[in-house]
Order: sequence, then structure tokens, then C-alpha cells
Amino acid sequence: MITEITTTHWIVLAAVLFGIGLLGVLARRNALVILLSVELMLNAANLVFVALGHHLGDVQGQVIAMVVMAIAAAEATVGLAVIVLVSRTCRTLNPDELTELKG
Amino acid sequence: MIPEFILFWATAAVCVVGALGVVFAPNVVHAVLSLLVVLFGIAVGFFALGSPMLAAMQIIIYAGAVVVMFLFVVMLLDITEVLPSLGGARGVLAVLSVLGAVALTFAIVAAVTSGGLPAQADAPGGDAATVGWGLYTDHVILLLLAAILLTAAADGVVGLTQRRESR
Repeated sequence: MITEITTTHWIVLAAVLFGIGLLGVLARRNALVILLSVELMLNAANLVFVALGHHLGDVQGQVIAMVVMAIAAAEATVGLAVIVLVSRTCRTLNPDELTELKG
Repeated sequence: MIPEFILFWATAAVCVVGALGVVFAPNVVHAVLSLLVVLFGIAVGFFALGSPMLAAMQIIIYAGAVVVMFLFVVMLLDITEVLPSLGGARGVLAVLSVLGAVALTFAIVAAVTSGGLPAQADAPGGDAATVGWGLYTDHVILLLLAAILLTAAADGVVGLTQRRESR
């Protein structure tokens, strides 16, 4: 278990990272740190794709991981643009205080 | 040559410490730099899992582009430091969600170890040629969708953030 590394080890590591990222999304009250935590969760998902692709001897896992990277880059770009706009118009980055859209 | 188990445990320790830094660092710049540490750790993991191509792309795309973009935005804004709060209903929700993630992990691990997913010895290498072949033949539709998505995101961000002179 300590000296013999299996696919399970990598998946558990990815799950720990995913859980920490989820905790960050739910606990932090700063939109920028929430976006950082989402990046963390996406990377954990990538690690599972690559680990299972390696386990199954299939290159598909790496292809999907690459597409996830592209999606994560697009998400970070749009998210940061929205954060800049929100901080410019609302003067805060706390998601709890952003109630402009409430009917 | 480093034994694989030393590589794994070192990577795991670096990644987990960095991830805790992302979530619990009071200074946002420290959180961004901790994310950089995690991303490098995951790149090492990709390398250990036989995909050097993805490891290189992880460092180029994330460390080279995404983290630098985050740092620029942190410098653009004045960020008030807000520490994590886990009181009340939000704390219960957070604990339940993390428990759900742990349960999901055990489901995946059970699926892997119960023999449902047989391991193959002759795994193909993860060099650029192999990954590129997969990307440009079987999964070319994903490549096209990613291209459209990135173009749309770039256009959208330019449209969102430019200041309009005449109101």
C-alpha cells in the first residue's frame, strides 16, 4: 500500500484535491478564490482522466484531459472578465452581497 | 531513477499542501501562488502516469497563461481579505458536499478494483504523436468544438470588458 502505487492511489489523490476545491467553493466568500477553487477541481478531474487512461491503456483519457484544459482556460477567461466588471460596477467581490439580479 | 512510490507520495504531499493553501490562504496572491504549486504537482503526476505531453501542456497553459492572468486580475482589483467562514447552514452543506465527493471516490475505486476495468500492460505512450493522432482522428469533433469555444470566449471577453466611450 505504501510502496506499491496503483491507479487507486492516483484517484484518491484526485478526490482529495477535488474535495478541498469543493470546500473552497463553498466556504470562501471571494469570487476570485472561488474561481481558483474551481480550477483546482477541474485539475483533479483531469488527473482522474489521465490515471484511468493509463490504467486502461487507452489514449482517450489524455485526449479528453486536453479538451478539459481548453474548457478550463475559456472558463477562467470569461470568469475573470466577469469578476473585473462586477468589481468595477458593484465595488465588491463577495457573492453574498451581489443581489442586483434579485427580483 | 526515483522509485515510483517516492514520486507519488512527494507529489501527493505537495499537491495537498498547495490545495490547502489555495483554500485557506488569507492573502489572494498567496492563494494564486499555491494554485501554481498544485498545478506543477499535477504536471509531475501526468508525467508519472506516462503522458509527458500533457505534463508539458499543463505547465505551458496553466503556469504560463492562466495563473499569470489570475495574478494580473489580482493586481487590477483591490481585494478585501475575507477569511473562510463555515458557520451555520453553509458549514453543513460544505461537509455534506465533501462527504458526497468522498463517496463518489469510493464508487470509482470500487469500480476499478472489482475487476470491472481490466488493466492493460501494453499501454501506448503519451507522446505528442499518439495524443495528436487520437485528437485529430477519433475525437476531431471535440477539437473543433474546443476551437469554437475558445474563439467565442476570446470574442466575448473583448466585448465584455471594453469601455464604451459614448454613453
